[in-house]
Amino acid sequence: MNKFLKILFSLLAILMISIFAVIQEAKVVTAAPPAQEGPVNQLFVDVTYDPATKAYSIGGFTQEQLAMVGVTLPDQVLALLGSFSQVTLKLTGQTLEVLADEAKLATMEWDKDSRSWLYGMIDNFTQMSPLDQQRAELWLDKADIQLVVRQSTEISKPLVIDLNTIVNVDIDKSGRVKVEGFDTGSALPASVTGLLDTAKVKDLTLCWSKGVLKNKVNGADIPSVTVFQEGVSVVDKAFGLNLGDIGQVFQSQLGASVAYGGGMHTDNQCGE
Amino acid sequence: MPRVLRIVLLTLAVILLLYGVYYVLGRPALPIPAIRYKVSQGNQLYDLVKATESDELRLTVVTDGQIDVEGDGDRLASIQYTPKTLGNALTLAGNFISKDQQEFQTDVSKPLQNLSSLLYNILRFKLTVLLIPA
Repeated sequence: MNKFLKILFSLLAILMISIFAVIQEAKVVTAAPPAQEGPVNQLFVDVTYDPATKAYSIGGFTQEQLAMVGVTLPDQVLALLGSFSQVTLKLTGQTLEVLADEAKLATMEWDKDSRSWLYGMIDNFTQMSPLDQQRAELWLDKADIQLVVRQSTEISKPLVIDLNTIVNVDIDKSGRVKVEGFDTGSALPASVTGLLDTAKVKDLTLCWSKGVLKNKVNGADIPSVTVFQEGVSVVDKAFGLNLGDIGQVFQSQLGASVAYGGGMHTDNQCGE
Repeated sequence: MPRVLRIVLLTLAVILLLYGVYYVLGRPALPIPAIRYKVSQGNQLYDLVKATESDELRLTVVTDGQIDVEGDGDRLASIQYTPKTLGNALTLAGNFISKDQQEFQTDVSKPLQNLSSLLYNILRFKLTVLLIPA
């Protein structure tokens, strides 16, 4: 074998050995995630309402900020909010408590039987479409929820959201928004539904987890976006949005499966 | 063996060896000199650049699937992509940009996907764009 071929084979041998070494090293065993314990869905919502001016704030956001994203409360709901100075609904583990103006209004065992009874009551005594019990159980089987509605002129406390169950949102062609089958009374602006129509969107999965936004459009993954608090501050300063304290948003986890114009919900959970 | 063939084979072997070293090193992104881009008033980017203390936004594209936006030494936002997710985003963008989906796929989407796949899997680069006020 001449000298040239010796050099050539030596070079190729070095290359092969190096690549083989890297491939061997790259084999990583991923451990199974630890089993989850405790409440799966954690939610704290504070709502403030001023009957004099009919101004309200939800989860640390002002009425104007909520209107910017298409969230408005109908007059019937505002009238209901004006009836109490404070109402608290507290669901912790196995107990549901309702407190009105600091007095305990009701306490209920929160097991499967009591939940079935509650679903029946809701179906029998409300005008709403029948409750999807399977979806309701996904939400409420393991939950730590606190909803506080109080009369006050101050901005409500920031939202605490840590939800593992994905929220089903249905939006019709006119923009009306239903969340888990309930009509919210709010609607998306025509500019947003126009964008969805142009993009031929039928379903979306949006997953926000502590600053990371992972999305699917029509079942296909699109690039994920990581937003940092400093970035939001720059955008806030540049466009004068007055977002206020949004630190809690970066501690939150929330996912939504959005079906648009009769589309289907394709995902039940966020993640792989 | 003819001299030309020997030179060609040896060149190929050297290229393969260099690429092997590059692969073994973990395919690091090769930096391209930074581009300075002046943003004029009236452009929405101008307001963003001026909202930073340093009047400078740094956009870094690393073709291993990472796009970072930095300002005042802090990371402001980042995008993580793979050739597949980028392709899906391009398909979506095609609905806004072009009326003829087939034409957009052939002329724009497919070539861009192939290029991004090459730069993602084979040879990686790092491009920095500095956005400054005009």
